[in-house]
Amino acid sequence: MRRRHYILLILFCLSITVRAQDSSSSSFAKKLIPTGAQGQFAGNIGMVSIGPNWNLYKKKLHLEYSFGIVPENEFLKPIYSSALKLRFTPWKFDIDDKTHLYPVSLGIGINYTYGERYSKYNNTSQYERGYYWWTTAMRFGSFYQIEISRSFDTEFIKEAGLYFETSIWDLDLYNYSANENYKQLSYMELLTLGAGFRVYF
Amino acid sequence: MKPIKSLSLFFVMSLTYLSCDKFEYNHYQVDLSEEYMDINQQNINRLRNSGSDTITLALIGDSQRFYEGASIAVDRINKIDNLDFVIHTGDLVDFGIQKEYKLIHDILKEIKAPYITVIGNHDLIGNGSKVFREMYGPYDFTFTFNGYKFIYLNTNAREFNFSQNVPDISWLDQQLADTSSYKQAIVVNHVPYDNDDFNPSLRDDYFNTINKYPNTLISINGHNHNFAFRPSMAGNVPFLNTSSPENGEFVLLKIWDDKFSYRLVTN
Repeated sequence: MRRRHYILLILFCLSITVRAQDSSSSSFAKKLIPTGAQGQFAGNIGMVSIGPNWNLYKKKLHLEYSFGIVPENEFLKPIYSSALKLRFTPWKFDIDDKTHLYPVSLGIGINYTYGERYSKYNNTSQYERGYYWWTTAMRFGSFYQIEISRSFDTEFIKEAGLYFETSIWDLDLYNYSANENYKQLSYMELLTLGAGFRVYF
Repeated sequence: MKPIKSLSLFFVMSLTYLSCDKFEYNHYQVDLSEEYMDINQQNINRLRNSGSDTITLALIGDSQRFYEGASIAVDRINKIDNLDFVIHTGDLVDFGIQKEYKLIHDILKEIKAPYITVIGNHDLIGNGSKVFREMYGPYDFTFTFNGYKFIYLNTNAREFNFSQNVPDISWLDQQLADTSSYKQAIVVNHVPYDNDDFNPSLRDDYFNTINKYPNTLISINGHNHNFAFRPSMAGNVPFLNTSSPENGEFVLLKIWDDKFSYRLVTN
């Protein structure tokens, strides 16, 4: 499993190198080159997570990949996960020449936690199909972000920003909404927070 | 620069204002604080003999995903006079995640009497096995109250891929064997012995073991979410299955001498 992470990391580094060295790549290869990167704290995709992102449509629609890790503690070995997020950012406001505000980013995400103990429930010799109705290794979420960024005049990084994220994940939504639990639980039980930085190449 | 300053201030304020445990790392993270640890043993230590010949118990189980129902049950349980303690028959949580464990404990700790829990299959999912061990303690354990021995046994065989150690029959036999040390024994577990999730190769062993010694009073289970009582047949140990607290229901059990009475409380 870990080997896969190293491969992803190497591919990420390679793609940045390609971008830095070769500006005459074919248009298809260019599309694979990340147009940015992000690092995040918390948000249910690792204590820290990092990865590339791609501008899919006019800098309004982005796809983000993040590899996340929750470090080892007295209770558990490290938890590794991979997340994919699709983010829609309709507006960009210029506060001044170099400072920008993205007041609303909305998106959906999937987080996959690696490890046999999270995926063994798919083993049909131990569990009948659908014995546990939810996917144990994969979580589905939606999120809102607000970001402030600053432009730079460098070759490599054109813009860098800080964002704050509020997300809602499937199991939390289920726990809150099923069986009239909203009468008992605070709406805060629905929410997960995260914060991060983002760079635009 | 003014707007940036105010925005940054807003940013920092919102970060500090919202409590830090909302910055969750992963649904399967485990990072328990002291107040959420070793609850079964702490609650066993809280048991006090009322001096009465009759033990009064409330039985709940399968509180998974029923936070509102569990809260209603807690309010009702707190109205019982002379309640000695509460038995939870497992499946505290649905997805085995720490957050659920904390939420349900925050509800159950409002019970004035101690509650003591056996592990259920849902409690074991993902890192739930780890969370249960830290929060509640061992999967198999016993305690004695007023001369009655309560034997909590892990019967969630499917979660252990039907290992020959689940349930641990030789351990169960040892607990029952010293019949001079208790008046009556009560065996508590989550998966009932006739359920598909019970280890089929140990089904007869379990049945024979609890019936091997003369003073086993009753076997209490959960898992089915439906209250049921199977009376003693040919002198064998009777079975009682708890309800889930879907609508706040629980079972009231009274034990005296070698007898007991039970009642499903629904309002």
